[in-house]
Amino acid sequence: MRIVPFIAAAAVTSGLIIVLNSKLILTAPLGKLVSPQHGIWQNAEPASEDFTADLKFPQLNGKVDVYLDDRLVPHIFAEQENDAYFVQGFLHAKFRLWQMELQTFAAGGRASEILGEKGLVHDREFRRLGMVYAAEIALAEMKKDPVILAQCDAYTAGVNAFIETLTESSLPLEYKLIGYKPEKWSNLKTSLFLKYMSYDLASHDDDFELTNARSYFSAADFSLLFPDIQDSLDPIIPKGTILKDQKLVPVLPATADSVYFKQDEVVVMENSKPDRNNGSNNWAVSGAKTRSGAPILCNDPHLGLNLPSLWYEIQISTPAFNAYGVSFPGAPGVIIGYNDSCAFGFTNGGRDVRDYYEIIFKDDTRQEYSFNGNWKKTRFRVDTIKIKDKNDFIDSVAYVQLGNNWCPVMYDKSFSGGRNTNNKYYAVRWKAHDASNEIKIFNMLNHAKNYADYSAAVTFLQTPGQNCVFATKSGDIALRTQGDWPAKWKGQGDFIMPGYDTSYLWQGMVPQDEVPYQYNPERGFVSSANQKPADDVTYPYYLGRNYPLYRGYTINKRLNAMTGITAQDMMTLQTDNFDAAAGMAKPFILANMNEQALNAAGKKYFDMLKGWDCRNDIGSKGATVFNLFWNKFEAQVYDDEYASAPKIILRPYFGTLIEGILKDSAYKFLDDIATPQKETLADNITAAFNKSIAEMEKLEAVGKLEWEKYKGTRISHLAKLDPLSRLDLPIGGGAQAINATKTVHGPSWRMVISLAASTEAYGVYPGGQSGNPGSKYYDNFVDQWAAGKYYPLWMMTHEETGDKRVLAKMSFNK
Amino acid sequence: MKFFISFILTILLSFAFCLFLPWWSIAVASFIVAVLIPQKPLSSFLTAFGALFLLWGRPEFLDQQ
Repeated sequence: MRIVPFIAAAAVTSGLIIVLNSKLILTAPLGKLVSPQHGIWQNAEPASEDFTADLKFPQLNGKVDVYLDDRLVPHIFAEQENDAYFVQGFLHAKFRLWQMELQTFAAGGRASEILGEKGLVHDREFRRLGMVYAAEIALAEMKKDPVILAQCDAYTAGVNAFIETLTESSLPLEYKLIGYKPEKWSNLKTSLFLKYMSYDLASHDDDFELTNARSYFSAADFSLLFPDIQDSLDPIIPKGTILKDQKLVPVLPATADSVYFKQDEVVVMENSKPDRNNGSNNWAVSGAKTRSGAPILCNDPHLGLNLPSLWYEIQISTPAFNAYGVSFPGAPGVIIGYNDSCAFGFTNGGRDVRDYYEIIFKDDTRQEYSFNGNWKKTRFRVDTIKIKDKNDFIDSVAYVQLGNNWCPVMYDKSFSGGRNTNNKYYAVRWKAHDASNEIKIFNMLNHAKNYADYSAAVTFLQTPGQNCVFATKSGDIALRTQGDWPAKWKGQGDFIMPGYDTSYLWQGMVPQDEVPYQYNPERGFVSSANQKPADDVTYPYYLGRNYPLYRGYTINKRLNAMTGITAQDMMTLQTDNFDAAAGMAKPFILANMNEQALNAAGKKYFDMLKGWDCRNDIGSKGATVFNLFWNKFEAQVYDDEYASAPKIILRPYFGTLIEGILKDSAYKFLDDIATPQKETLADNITAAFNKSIAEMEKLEAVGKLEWEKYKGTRISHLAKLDPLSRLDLPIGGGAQAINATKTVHGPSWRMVISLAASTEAYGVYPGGQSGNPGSKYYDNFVDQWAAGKYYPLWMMTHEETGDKRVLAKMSFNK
Repeated sequence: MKFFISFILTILLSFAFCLFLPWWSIAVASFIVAVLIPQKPLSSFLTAFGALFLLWGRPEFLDQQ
């Protein structure tokens, strides 16, 4: 052997191995990834993969049989209820582990452990918002309830039982790509996941932005820009419904006019906000309006569209109940679905339950804060944030007691969310910090048999408040605008409030018996689409300013007019593309366009708008023209007023401009304050249309003027990897249509349940049951969903185990 | 002949090692075969290169749909 060549070859080989085994030079350990027996090839699942399994777990109390059908939906038959939750945990982990972990890491402010330093601002903000704090409080509450604790223990044990079976080669793909391993699951993680849903649904606020808007604009202008009454409102509980008498009358603080309704500019900005569009549609029609004579319940939650999907279809069958629907990987039970007696669904309540209070500390040590004229002792929570490849970051957060609640001082001199230096202290009072037992409501609904069971169940839902729709086979329909809502005086919570005495704190919660609801109403249907729960003119408690108007308006109009309704009619309604806002705006646009001032291209596009049927359908160029024009129109109207405004501010909510013009065609803000003359509606509309022509021409030149091409709806992989995502889906819809499909947000589940003697159920979500991008079940539902079609949902019975739809059987024994 | 035998042996030994050991055991496997079946330097290199190319490249070729 020749020594020198040997040493040289050995050195080169060793060098290559080190480089390919780590992320020293390359972004991923390519050696590990490409190795056929260890790497990503192991995740390539053959189309004919056999899921049959015979598994033994001593944690089980009895036998559990799982039948996976041809859509990979598991039908779980358990002798003991908690065993079903064990198996649910096992299956959630088997098919969606990485998603479960990623969501709880993000929720718990641990993104930096995986992403490195770029996750630090997110992590600090989420911890300072009190996400982990809230999850710990919820966990303590859960432990007081033996039934729910046993359910969660079983679920956690099932998830961990699966994690224990993983080897390097069977790790899900994303762990290999990023280079880490899964952790054990715990009840705290289930709590954290549910708090993430609270973040998504019940944490939206614009307090800093509105404070700045109010500091800049006059009181009169502010009320016009951000009205609290909407003329086109068709509330969830119809106008004219007699509501219970108000028992708690919130008192306006004496200093409100001097220190609250007019404040100085603030420099804090939340780093991340939940999507403003997180909402949904739901409705139930009674037998009086259906062809079968039985109620039909429908629900389509609107959330960010991702792969893997937030939802996982499942059937759970135990001696106590038999339920089918969608579940959350991360929590036990069926969340939206039906059982042998009834069906249930949710839309977001959307009320403001997150308010900020300015705190005065004695000095920069933050050891003492001022409250009711005394110095009180601060509590501290020290968070250690691990950062990949760097030193830990230590974040010390002050907690102050506001009323009965210890609240984190989220923004202080060391953290302002944005990139500004901030010298003030703001504590956040978020309803999600309060002890509550959310899993109980789902457990009770899964078991529910009638309206009484539903009524008992819903009052357990405190945060996130939801409009809970319900229907039974025996013919009842109901909807409750449920939540533990703070009872607010008019304007409370819009702006930052002084936090040095009790006068601005929430004075109490709306008593549960005053929560507006409907039960078998005369109009024969109940519905909600995130609009205000009740008539904003007469409802005694303050509801805030930002609620979507148009979907609810369209749904109620259509349902009022329909009779002899079938399940197919409901699927057609759920996928309807009519844009009610455009329907209201188009007449005044057409009436006020100065066609002479448009060039040839402008006239061509204006003709498209004239001929448009106000539907966001596939192939519609008019829809794109309208939307491009509308963006420019809003800018044309408001840009001059906002030209010198603070950077951290809010533009008027969608709908404000339409409502403003419908009310008064000499709408105040049509005037351009930078010019001496007074502009009219026609001036604004024509100018805006002219400005939008260039964009229309550019889109038409590349063949993207059609609505679905312009919108480019996509379902993105959670790590935003395009090759693992579905892009440019051929689907219509829009923010103001019942089919609320936008670019990255839309109906994440569509469900229609007809509660005839033999239940007829349909559902679809844009994803697939498997979270493995290498599986044929990763995205096999996406095309069906995009086409507006549904799958029949199969509530399997014991007798059907030989059905040809059964793909594989998994047996679980103790 | 030597080339052919050492080629097959490299593939089999690398495959066997990878069932239990990390991926870079393919380097060890190739080294063992090269020691047991001495060839000229270029042949020896091509044996290992070709064998591992086939072993690792096989999935890519099969997935040509």
